[in-house]
Amino acid sequence: MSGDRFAEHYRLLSTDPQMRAELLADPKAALAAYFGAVVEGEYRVEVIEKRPDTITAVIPTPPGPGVDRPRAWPRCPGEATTCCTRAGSAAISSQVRRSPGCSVTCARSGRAVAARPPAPPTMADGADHDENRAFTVLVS
Amino acid sequence: MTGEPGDNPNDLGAGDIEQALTMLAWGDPSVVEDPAALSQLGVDVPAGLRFDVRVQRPDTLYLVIPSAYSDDGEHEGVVNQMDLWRSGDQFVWIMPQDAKVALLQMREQYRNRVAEEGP
Repeated sequence: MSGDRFAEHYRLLSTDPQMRAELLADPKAALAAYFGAVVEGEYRVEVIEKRPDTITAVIPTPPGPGVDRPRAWPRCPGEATTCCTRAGSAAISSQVRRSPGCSVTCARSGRAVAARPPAPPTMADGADHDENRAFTVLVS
Repeated sequence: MTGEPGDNPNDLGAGDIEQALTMLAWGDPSVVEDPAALSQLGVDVPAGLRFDVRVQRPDTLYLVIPSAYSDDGEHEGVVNQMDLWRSGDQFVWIMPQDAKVALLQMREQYRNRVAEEGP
């Protein structure tokens, strides 16, 4: 399946109210109807609509039972929110680039950026909670 | 407030609005339904903007779809695609380009408040 198929789906979701409504009503069924199939398995698909008037915060999954919450978040220096360019290349701030262990990546859209901090601290239960402190910004 | 945010193990929520909001949502699931969730952190959402909070589920993939456009032509060439994803333990902001400044202001507002009053 070519990438154009996905791009066309994305474009249609912007411009076809019926297709958009169907996706919102039953995401898996709508994706299967358009693409012919979806990956089998016990999982949900939740749609997050970008809206001109909405900021959405997607919170990390809470720790499971028996797992201590992190005591502190290691932080990448700099502001990841300013790191991505429309051309798809990561305009990584010098502060982030100089920080060992930090990385910033852009999605192929060029507008998604993720900053990953250095190695997280060891929690009280001895488990490492990698990536807990990173955050991602998607803008359009 | 002394030291850097996160220096004190008891400083959960200090410094970063992402951290504080995560702790708030983990501790009080009703925050997800509360349009004024950020007010609990002393942060004002600019007029005209909505604030939507989602707590990720381990059994869920997320699909971000673009804004709906009434005019097909103007945005025909715009493709900003994000496939099904799950960030798991990552905090994710999703917003239109125009709201980016508002988010930066809210983050700054939170930082300033914590610096003055503590978490």
